[in-house]
Amino acid sequence: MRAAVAHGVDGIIADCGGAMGCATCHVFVEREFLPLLAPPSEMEDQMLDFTAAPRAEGSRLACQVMITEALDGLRVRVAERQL
Amino acid sequence: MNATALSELPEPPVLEDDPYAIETLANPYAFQARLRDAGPIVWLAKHGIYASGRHDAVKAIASDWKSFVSSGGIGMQDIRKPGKFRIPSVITEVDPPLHTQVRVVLQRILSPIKVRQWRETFEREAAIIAERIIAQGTFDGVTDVAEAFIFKVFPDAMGLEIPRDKALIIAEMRFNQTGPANALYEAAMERAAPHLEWFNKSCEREMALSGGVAEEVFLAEDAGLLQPGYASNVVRTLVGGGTDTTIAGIGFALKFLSENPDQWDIVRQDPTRVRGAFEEALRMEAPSQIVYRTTSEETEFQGYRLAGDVKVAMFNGAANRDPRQWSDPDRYDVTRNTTGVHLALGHSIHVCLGQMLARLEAETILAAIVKRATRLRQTSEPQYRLMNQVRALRSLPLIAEAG
Repeated sequence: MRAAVAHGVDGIIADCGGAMGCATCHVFVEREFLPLLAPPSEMEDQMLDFTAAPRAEGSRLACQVMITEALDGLRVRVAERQL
Repeated sequence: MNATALSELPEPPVLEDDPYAIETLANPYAFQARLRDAGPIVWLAKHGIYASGRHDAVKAIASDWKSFVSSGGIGMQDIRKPGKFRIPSVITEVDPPLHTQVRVVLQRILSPIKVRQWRETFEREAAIIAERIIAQGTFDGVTDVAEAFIFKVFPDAMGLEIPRDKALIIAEMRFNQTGPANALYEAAMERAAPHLEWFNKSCEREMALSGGVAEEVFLAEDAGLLQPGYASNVVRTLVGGGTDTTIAGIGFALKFLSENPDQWDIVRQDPTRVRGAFEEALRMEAPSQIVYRTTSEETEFQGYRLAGDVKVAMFNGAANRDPRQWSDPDRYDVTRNTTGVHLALGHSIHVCLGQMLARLEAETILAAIVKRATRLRQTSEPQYRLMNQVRALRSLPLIAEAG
């Protein structure tokens, strides 16, 4: 999320600044990369029920995806609506 | 770390200051700097507690809920100790897994979707207040704006009656209780005594109006999502956490905007900057200045050995002005990117549950004023409302120029 905001990626709003409070940094992680990510926490899982665009496979809050070397090349699709 | 290595670590540096001395509460900045400069964590000898005022250290403490537990209470007293007992909040003063169970229920009730639905109502109420103060010309930024607005929209959203006079007095009791039993505390307890009966009943089921947040919390209890008796406890925490702190944040935003015409102009030109104006006010004057954890056992922290079962004070206000984190930290800059970085709303699992509501409240009232006033000016010195935990203004005499 921070990387996206710092680079002005359109569609990542992140009203709460990464506190799992607003559900406005919704992204869809492409299937092939899902095994590289730790599954959502209980809190994130719940917040994903409150996204503006419907939740789907690979739905994550970008603020909970911490970028590591292992994620090099990660592709996500930004949700079409955040509000 | 094994026991031998732990015992070889130094103890944190000692600081003799009393952060709760009246003159320090009134003007905390020199103490905050001494706290930060002494080390990532210090021993506050006067109170027999650890304390931290550096941004990275406070964040680390808030993140490590296993080493730094909340079940000892978020105040200075360990509420589990004999004679110190008060009823713990079942949301702020508990640890996982119980905390998670309660938090997910509340998160659902205060979801971002729910909060967004209040926007129109808040904008309407904000417009009424803004029109009124512009017509008056001179007004008080705390009582006529921040308090007037919050005591209108927040009780309506909660579905509770929260009379301003009683609520402010009870809040002073609660926000002094979390510090030492000093003169401020004694005075606040005495003032609150006649209102305790009201306070004890104020968050009970029969007080919850139809369609409000409080009612939803009670319905969640009925549905078995919360343990019996939890709903009232949680509602009390929401009311305590949702009034004075937001009022303080809005008050400080108005204070800084009236003191910094260049920043006011930036916001006037781009009213979406009211969000930055609020976040930056939260950074510079964290309404909740000091929040406690308790060490669960002897542990290492940033190279120091900490004893177990000791209170640890997180000085959010000090951390938010840490020059190790921010350049020119004492400068109010509405364009600074602080959301989610400053620690005024806490960090990690206990991060402020009502933060999106608070942001919506602040945004709507500040936007309503910015839209109508060309300039805000202070007509006399702001007065502080000193409390052990919370930093807030009592009054902020302003004049609005319009036209």
